[in-house]
Amino acid sequence: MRGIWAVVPGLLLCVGLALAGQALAAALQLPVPGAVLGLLAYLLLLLLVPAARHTRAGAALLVRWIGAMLVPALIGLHAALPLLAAAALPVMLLLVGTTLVTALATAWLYRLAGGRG
Amino acid sequence: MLFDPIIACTAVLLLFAGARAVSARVGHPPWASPVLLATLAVAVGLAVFGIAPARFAAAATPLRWLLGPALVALALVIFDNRALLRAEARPVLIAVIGGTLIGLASAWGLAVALGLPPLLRAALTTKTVTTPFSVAIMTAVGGPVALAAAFSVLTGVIGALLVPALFRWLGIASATGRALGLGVSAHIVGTDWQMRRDARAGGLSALAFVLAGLVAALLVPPLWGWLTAA
Repeated sequence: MRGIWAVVPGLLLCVGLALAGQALAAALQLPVPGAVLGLLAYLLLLLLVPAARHTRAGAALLVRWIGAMLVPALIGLHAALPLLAAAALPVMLLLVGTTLVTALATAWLYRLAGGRG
Repeated sequence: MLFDPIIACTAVLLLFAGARAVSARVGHPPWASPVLLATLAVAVGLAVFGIAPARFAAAATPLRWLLGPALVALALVIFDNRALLRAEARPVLIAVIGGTLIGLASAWGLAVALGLPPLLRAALTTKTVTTPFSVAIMTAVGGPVALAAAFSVLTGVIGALLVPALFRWLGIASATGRALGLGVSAHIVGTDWQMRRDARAGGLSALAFVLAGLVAALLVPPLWGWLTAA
């Protein structure tokens, strides 16, 4: 039972910050996803408030199951399959090409900026 | 109908747990991404039981809603790897931010150059960031969520399969540079691959994919109108 209660503070805090972020983004009409504001707020809390570290177990639980939360979005893909099939080759080339370019550019920029690791 | 959400969410969670077990059983290859396997299993389930995707989508709303809190929880990834960031803040940030910008620009530019339909072009803008962020961005701007999610997942798998080989082939000597490159380009799938080989490099990849998601989430929505203009 103790294991279950350990995740409660983190779950509540992350839900609260996600809702607060959404409310803030809507109120100020900020062009960013509200949850991202919640992420930044949570990072500040973790850095500045030692007690916030008690929320670790709940937050880690959410991160571990993030993949399951993406399944409903991916199931929505069935409607776009004809569009995707019609452009499969150029899309595949684009995905492969830009992924390799991005990886190389990142590694190269690290060196260029004086990274030694 | 009241039971729909309970059944749908439980089924997805169980199938995801099963997909993770299968992925572990075959040795965690990038192509056996648990998200991909779980999605295929759900699709097969819907077809077998004759359930309309729209009904499933409505029933799975609670799970979809949890993505917001889970995105908030990703702050933990930055926090846990803050020592790696502090050690070399300048080169790490320049590499991650610059790499993300090149990822965003190259995907958008190539989609325009190839003359892809507007919907695909829009969905491809966020292919360089991890799926939770691309879904959050598309939800915020009213873009094609499902396509963007699929492109992010595919990019992760492609990157984890090809980027390590590319780095080896080109003889990229910097371990940190390689870890950051894999994190920015192949996000969670690449990080998972890296984490199983080297914990420090895995931490760098994790840091890189969350920071890359943040950069995109702050940058893409304000530019959305311009990016999707015909």
